[in-house]
Amino acid sequence: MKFIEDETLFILTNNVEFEQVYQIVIDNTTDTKPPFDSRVFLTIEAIIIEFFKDTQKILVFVCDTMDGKQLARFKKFNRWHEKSKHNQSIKKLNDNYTDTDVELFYSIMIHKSNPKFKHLKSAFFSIKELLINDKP
Amino acid sequence: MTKVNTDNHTKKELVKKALKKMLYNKKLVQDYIKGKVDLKTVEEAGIKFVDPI
Repeated sequence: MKFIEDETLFILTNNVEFEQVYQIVIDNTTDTKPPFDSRVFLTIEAIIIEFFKDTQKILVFVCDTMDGKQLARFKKFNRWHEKSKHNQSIKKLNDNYTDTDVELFYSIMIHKSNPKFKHLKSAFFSIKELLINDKP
Repeated sequence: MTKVNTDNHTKKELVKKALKKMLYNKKLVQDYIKGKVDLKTVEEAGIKFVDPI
């Protein structure tokens, strides 16, 4: 698991600056599919809780499309979030967009105590509005 | 962060590029995790690893 600085998603949010935006990347260290391990959920949950001890941090991610299983990943992350201990204090906002036959699922996670919560929520959903807007 | 003021069509293209860039960054980091690319390649793509925890 790696974190990278990634403010790419909010490049067009002209009125509000968002800082401490990180993309989380989770993957196996080999191409071999590992056996099911229930501790993966617990590990990721613990990392998310630790990450949001600073309530101003923002986590973004996009589901991997390389093998066409992005919907399955999206559903799995949603299930994990729903059963997590933190789902009342940390909100996960989701959206999707289909471009040239590839459906992209992207999400952000924000702490409810983030002072920019409303702006972030608005900025996030404005992304989809821009994507479906065909007006010149 | 560089902010952009532009028309709706251009904004749409920029957002599409932004999503693709996120995916590209993710793929590069996944390749790094698997040892398929080195740190220099990742850094040259403008990717900065951080430890925010």
